[in-house]
Amino acid sequence: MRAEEYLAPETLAQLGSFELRAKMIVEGVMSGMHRSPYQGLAVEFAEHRPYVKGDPVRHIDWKVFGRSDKLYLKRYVQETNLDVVVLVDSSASMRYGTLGVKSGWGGTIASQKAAAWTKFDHATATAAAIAYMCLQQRDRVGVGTFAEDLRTAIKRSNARDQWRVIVQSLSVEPVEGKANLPKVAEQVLAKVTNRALIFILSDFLMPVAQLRDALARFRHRHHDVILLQILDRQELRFDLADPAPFDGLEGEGRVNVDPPAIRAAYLAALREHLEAIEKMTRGIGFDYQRMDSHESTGPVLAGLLARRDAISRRSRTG
Amino acid sequence: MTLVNASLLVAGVIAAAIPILIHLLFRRRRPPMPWAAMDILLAAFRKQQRRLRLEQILLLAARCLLFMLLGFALARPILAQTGLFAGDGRTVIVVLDDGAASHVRTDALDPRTSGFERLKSEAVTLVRGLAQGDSVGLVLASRPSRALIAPPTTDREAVARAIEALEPTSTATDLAAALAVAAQVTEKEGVADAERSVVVLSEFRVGSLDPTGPKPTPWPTEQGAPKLLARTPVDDDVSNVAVTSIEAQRSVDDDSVTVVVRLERAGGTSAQQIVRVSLEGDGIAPVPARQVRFDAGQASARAEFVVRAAGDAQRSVSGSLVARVEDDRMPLDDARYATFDARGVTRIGIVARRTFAGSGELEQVPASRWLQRALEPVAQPGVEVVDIEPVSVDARTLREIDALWVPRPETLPPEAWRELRAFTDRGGLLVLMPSADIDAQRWVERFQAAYVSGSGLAWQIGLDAPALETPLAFATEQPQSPIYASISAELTELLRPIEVDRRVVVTNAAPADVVLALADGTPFLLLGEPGGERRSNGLVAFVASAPELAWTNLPVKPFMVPFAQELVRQGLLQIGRSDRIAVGDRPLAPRDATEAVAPNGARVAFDPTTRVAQSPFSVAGVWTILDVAARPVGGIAANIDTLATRVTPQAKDTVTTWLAGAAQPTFIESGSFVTSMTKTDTGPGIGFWILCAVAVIAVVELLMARYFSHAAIARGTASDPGIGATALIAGSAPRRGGAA
Repeated sequence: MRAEEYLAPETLAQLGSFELRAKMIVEGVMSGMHRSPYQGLAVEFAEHRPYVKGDPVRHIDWKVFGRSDKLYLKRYVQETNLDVVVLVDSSASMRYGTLGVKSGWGGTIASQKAAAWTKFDHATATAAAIAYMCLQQRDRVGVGTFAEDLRTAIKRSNARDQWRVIVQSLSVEPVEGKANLPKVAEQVLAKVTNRALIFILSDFLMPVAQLRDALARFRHRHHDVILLQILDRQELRFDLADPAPFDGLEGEGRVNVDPPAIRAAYLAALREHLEAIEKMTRGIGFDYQRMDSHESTGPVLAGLLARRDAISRRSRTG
Repeated sequence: MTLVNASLLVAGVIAAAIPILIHLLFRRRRPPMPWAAMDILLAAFRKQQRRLRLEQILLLAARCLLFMLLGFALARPILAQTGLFAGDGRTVIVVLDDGAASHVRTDALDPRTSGFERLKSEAVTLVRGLAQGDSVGLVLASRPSRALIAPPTTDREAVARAIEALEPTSTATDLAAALAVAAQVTEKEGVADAERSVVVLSEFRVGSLDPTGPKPTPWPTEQGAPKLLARTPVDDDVSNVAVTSIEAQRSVDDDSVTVVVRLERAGGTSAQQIVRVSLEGDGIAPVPARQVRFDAGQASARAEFVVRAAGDAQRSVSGSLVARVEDDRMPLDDARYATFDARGVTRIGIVARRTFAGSGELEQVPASRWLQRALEPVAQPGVEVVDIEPVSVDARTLREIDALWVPRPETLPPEAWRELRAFTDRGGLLVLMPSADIDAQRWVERFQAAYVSGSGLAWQIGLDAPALETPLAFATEQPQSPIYASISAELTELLRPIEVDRRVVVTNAAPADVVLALADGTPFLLLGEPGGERRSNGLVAFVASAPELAWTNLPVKPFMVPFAQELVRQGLLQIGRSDRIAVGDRPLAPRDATEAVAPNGARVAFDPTTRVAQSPFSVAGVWTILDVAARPVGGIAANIDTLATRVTPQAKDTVTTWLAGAAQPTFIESGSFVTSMTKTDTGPGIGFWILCAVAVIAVVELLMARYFSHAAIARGTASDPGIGATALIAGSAPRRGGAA
């Protein structure tokens, strides 16, 4: 079995242990990154050394060569003073999911109620994987869940049992309420005073202005933020056939809708919303990645890490 | 606009509720679906809400309209006379001869070969062959002529089915009345503007159309008047023997009754023919059948039967009779029915003032005494003569009287004449004569008022009776009257010695009413049936000379006894003989009758006020009369009018002349009726166009349904699979994170 297959939500859903699930994701991510597995998230230039035959040519520092007519290779070291904070949205909208799973499989409370792989399941699995990876490279990792407020906040640490604490916290978290990200941002910033890499995992089904407000606060404190927007495939496609009354999970009310009749309008509105988020996020200078909760987490994370690696290389060489 | 099947339109309107019901039911059955991206869904919904509602309304309206229009189209609407659509248009009134003459058959034993079946078949073919939009009415020509389907309908199939269900009647055809009814139907609102045709379907035999009978009422001749089309008259000469009358004559000698059956032959009179005649009856001993021979050229014949009471030879004969001939091609007139009653006591009343003075001389014997002696010369078990004072002539007295002699009419009080009329109406025999005591017969005015004015009697009775210079004898040739038929052999001898010295001259009497005539041709004895506006079952007789010696020597001659007795006996037999009632008549109720029951069980009540049957007697045969306690109290024989069953064909010119009294006819051969009447459709009717509209709406509905809902799924999911997990903004990449 290929590692990616282990990372498919269907497979992960069969794994009762949260830890095991996270490790599976991380192994999958590693298998897709043959080169410098621990570089990418947070790396920094360390020193030069003389070129020896067999070294990769692309690491030669051509600026030094131009000045001294000698070949030196650039070497990097991992940053040790960068904390990682993972924020997981546990508002009611994250309870939504349409990928069926067996009942009693041992997932989160949200998925057990819905008998489906919910967006919250996907978010917690991804968050656990990220935490695992960061802890593996000795970064300090803290995790928080939020809705109206910051519900839990695991202090940043790279202690040996930190990951287990994180996983236990994520597996029992209730999924309800309405997300208020600006408020949560304030609460997080009160706790995180040093510069940190902040992952926010949410469906971001909130007004873009609200999100901009939150991100601006993070930007103001020089934090780096990566938005992982997790949506269910049904939300992305909206290919329901039968008319039905739709109930808002966050108390928006009920409306009778013939999905085929408004599909185009819905998709257009959703696309507009997503584009606005993506554009706004990138405009601020943060990273953004959308995830389909029916798709494997590993390749998406691997792609994200590879992209950030490429960006950091360009910035160093450039 | 008219609808052929309006109920289908109602069904369509009701069916229009089906889409609404489906819509409502489907709305309620869906379980709610939790949804996270509700704000986006609501935004999309609000954006599309007006369009969606409009689409739903359009779709619902299209579906409802589809059902309604389908029902409307199936209801077969007709835009009559608008000229908008070809195929709408004409009005055809079919006058169908269902009278007695239409019973004539091709095969004597097969009723399916009757003329009516042929006419019916032609009518059905004609109706079914008409164009869509043509409307059809139906008038039946048998008496009483009536419009069976009016106003005309465009449901030609229903008319055809109605025609197929028809049976011929036994009453006479009245084409004149039928044409008048047809003309009325064509003048009705909604019909008068159409192109109208009246089609007469009859074989035009003499029984259906009597050229000597009433002429039809002329139709309007203005532009657009109805056209008269007629089937070409038949020309097959059918041989038919009809029983035209059956008369019972009581024997002078005993209680036997002589029954005379008269036959008429039509068609094939050039050949010799032997007909077997049988007579049956209720309460009479069986009598052998007779063979009656028609010689070549002979058209009428008679057969006589002497019948006695069944079982007891001493018992008087009474009951019903039926005379039959063998089946021929006109079965309707092969039998004739009669009833008679010759039993029981005959009560004869003589209205006269009681006198106590002796009358020693013959010249002074009043007429009442002569009559009393003549009517009851010796005590007879079956006859009872009673004297009635003129002032006692009232309903109560007359109820017990069968025959009433009034030798002194002037002595009657004025109100007694009304009672006399009621007496004859109930079936009594009234015998009047001039009073020998007065010169001027002033009572005649009251008689005229009670019996002549407005009645069937036209007798003009003279007011005086001057003495004749030369006594008058009786005519040597007396009229053929059934009253004295039993003594017809001796009648001449009996009349020879009688002389009349005074008599009242009666003029304007129908020849049939004259029973005995004097040598100068004036009537001596008249017998007639009151009729006119009032119906009567009885008879009125008038003796022109008072039976007193000052007027005539009749009282002392041998004829006096049979003169009085036969007049009463045969007169009452005639009254009791009810074969004069024709099928289709509404007879007057006999004494004590409240209801009549037909041989087939049909019941007809008599009006308690007018005493006339409330509906016509519909079948031939002896109808049983019931009293108020539903006990049978007698019978009435209803017979076919043999004038209506005459099967002799008529020349086309004769028919043309007669029909031209209404409008100039156009004759069409029976075989080409359909092609002559059938109008070729030059285009579809409105129903077709509505169906086209239904088809268009169905297609539009289909397209709308696909576009608005289900088709959009396929189309949308195929062309727009939704949003993927990849970045939507091509080439966008974040700047180095804020931490960099």
